[in-house]
Formats: sequence, C-alpha cells, structure tokens
Amino acid sequence: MTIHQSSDDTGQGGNPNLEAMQRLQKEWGKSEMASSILVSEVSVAALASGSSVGIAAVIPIGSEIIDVKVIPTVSSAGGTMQVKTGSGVNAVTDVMTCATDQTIARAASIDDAYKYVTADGVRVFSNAEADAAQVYLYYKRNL
Amino acid sequence: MTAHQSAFDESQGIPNLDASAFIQNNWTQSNISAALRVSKTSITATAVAGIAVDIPVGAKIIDAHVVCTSSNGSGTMQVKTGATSPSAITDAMDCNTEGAIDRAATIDDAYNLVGADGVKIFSNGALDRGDVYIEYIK
Repeated sequence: MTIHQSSDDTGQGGNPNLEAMQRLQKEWGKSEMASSILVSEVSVAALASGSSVGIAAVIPIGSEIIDVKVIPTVSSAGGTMQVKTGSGVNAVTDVMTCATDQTIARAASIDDAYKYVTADGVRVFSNAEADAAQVYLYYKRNL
Repeated sequence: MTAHQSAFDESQGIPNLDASAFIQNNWTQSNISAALRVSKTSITATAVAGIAVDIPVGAKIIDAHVVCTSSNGSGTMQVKTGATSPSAITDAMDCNTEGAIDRAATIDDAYNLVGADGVKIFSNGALDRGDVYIEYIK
C-alpha cells in the first residue's frame, strides 16, 4: 500500500482522509501510544496551598511516573518541590531544590511503590508558601 | 470499550472501526498536547549568529541538552529567542569535547514559551559543533 504524505493534508479531498486514517491506524497503534511519553505541567504559584495541600497534577489513573523536572520561577531560600501521592502521605520523588530562579532540578529518586498513579492522584508539594515553579511530570500511560 | 491489539492488523481490514475508535478515545487533544516532543538541531556550520530551530509557536520548552560532535576549546551552545535582540532561554551548555553531553542548568520561564520570533541556537565559537535536543510540549 502506498500512503502519500499529502494524504494528511486537510486539502486532500475530505477530512478525515481515508489514507491518512489508514496510516494512523498502522503506524500509531496501541503500543506506540502506550510507549509515548506524556508530560503533565503543574504551575505552582506562591500560594499557601502549595505547601499545605499541594497542587494536583492531571495524570490518568494507571499511569507510571518516570521522571520529574522543576523550573523555579522565583528565588526562594530553602525552596523545594516534591511529588507525592494525592493524600500527601507517600513520596513519589525525593525533595527537589527550588531555591534559585530558573535553575533546573531533576528528580534524583522515584519510589517504585508509588510511581503508578492510583485513584488518590498525584500532587506537587512545596516547602513553603513563597516557593514557585513550573513542575513537569513525565509519565507513560497504561493502555 | 475493548479494543484489541489485533484491530490494528491489516488483516482486520483498514481502516478498522475498533482501531479507529481506540485511537480516537486514547489519543485525544489533551494527550496530543501533553506528548513530549524533541526538536533536534545539528550545528554543522557556524552558529555564532544563531541557527533557527524547527519548533512551533506556542510550544513550551522544558529541557535541552547538547551532544558535542567535535572538540573545540571553549565551545558552547545556548538556546535563545529568535528576536533581533535575542533573550536567553537556557544557559550556555558546554560543547567542547566530542561525544560529551551537557544539559541545560537553567531555563527562563519568561522566554520558554515560543513566540513568533522563534528559537535559535547560538554557539560561542564559529567551529563549535553539536547536536542540540530541545524538549517541548504544546
């Protein structure tokens, strides 16, 4: 079967285009979707809730968290970010430094006992109200 | 919905309704937005004045690293905006030893959302060479 690149153009006689659908079906199957890395962005503002109850990440149940990165958006002495289960009881990652504006921190550890998202969900907890960052949770879905 | 892997087999007819439904249900707009993209820019000529990166407007840059492809003293690569007066998105990453990887240590949230000016890679020296990988989401 010959599938032309142009079949993905919306100008190729109809949308959806049959050839484009065929290619999508062949090349972007369940295994490709399951192996794709998705990223959940959590913007932690300088709010009291960041340190008290955490900020929820939108990640489907069953997903596996495989990495986390923090980009601080302000400088805050002693600032940290940590990913925990939704209840805040169990740590998913270690405590990542978030003290200097723009300085990236990457998770140094992930607990395999809690890296799979459950109905409890996942939250990002800061150390103090003044801490703020863009936190990126890398995950794979369980399809 | 139960979508079997076999629905993606050609023998099941293409396009197969189950496969199409599975894609529609599991590769939604939010999934597409959250999918991690990696833009690769191979610096094979001088990038002192900046080499444009193929990255869409609206993308959010979340990480970058360089794989150095030629040793050159004091070599660096830095991701900046494509504006006439570029603003730094990352710090300058070392690119002075062939084969060595260096990762961005900083990202400025004031500039990591790609604007109409686009993004460019700037080297320190005219002979700095490397493959620069930029992670982004949309």
